[in-house]
Amino acid sequence: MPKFLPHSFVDINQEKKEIPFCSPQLIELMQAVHGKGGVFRFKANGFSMAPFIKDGDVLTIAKPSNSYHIGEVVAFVRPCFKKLVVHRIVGKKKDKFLIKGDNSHEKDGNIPLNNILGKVIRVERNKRDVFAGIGLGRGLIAFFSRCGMFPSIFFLPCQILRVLRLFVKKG
Amino acid sequence: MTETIQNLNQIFSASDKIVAREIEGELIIVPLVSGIGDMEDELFTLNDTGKEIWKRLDGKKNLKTIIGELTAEFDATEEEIEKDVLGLMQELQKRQMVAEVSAA
Repeated sequence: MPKFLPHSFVDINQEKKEIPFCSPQLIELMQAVHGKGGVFRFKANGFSMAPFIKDGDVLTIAKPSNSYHIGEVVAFVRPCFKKLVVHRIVGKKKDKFLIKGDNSHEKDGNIPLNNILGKVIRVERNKRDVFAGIGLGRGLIAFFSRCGMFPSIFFLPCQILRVLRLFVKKG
Repeated sequence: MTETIQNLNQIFSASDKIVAREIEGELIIVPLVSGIGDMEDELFTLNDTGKEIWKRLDGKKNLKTIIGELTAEFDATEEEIEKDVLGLMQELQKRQMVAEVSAA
């Protein structure tokens, strides 16, 4: 007979459970929360949306919609790999959306509407809201990204910033 | 205000204000607070035995039945199991993770 654990087991643990970002379980949880009419808040990881969404940012995903717009950042399931990805819509054709990470060289392909789980409605970094990348200007970001100007367009400014920081540290 | 659970004829089921899924052997409970299912700051887990109790909260079995089933299945006295079931139910009710179906 299995052992019944003593009283301490009944404590409900509130903890930072690390559920892998790409895991099917996270997808299932998101869909279950959306199914109950809620929005889903979780920590993202990865660098494919830098600098607008950084590794460790907390994202809030609204429930799925019947339409999305170019420039919006969406959570979707990659058709072949069944993994959760959060990237930007850079094109649209009928009911398929061309999606790409801002910091990725490759596009994700034309994703069917049904594979999109919802759009990002809030980005938090160090407990503060971040508006760059999901507010005004997102259409322009999508344009530059689709043209392949991202991530290289950030290369020079990042290098300049890096050099400036070195000067500041030395000074 | 949460009342102490005394009546073993009470029947409970999972509240519609939570989402619960088993992940890697643990039961993960995500409450919906103000319409937000928050994986980052509001996440709860139950271990194996807590899971066994949770699985039986199907809206049909009263607490007495659940205690009886667990007594038959596990190596513990009915008194121990009753104490722990009531303790867990108290916590779940306090956090609004369960809803009473009826007090038959």
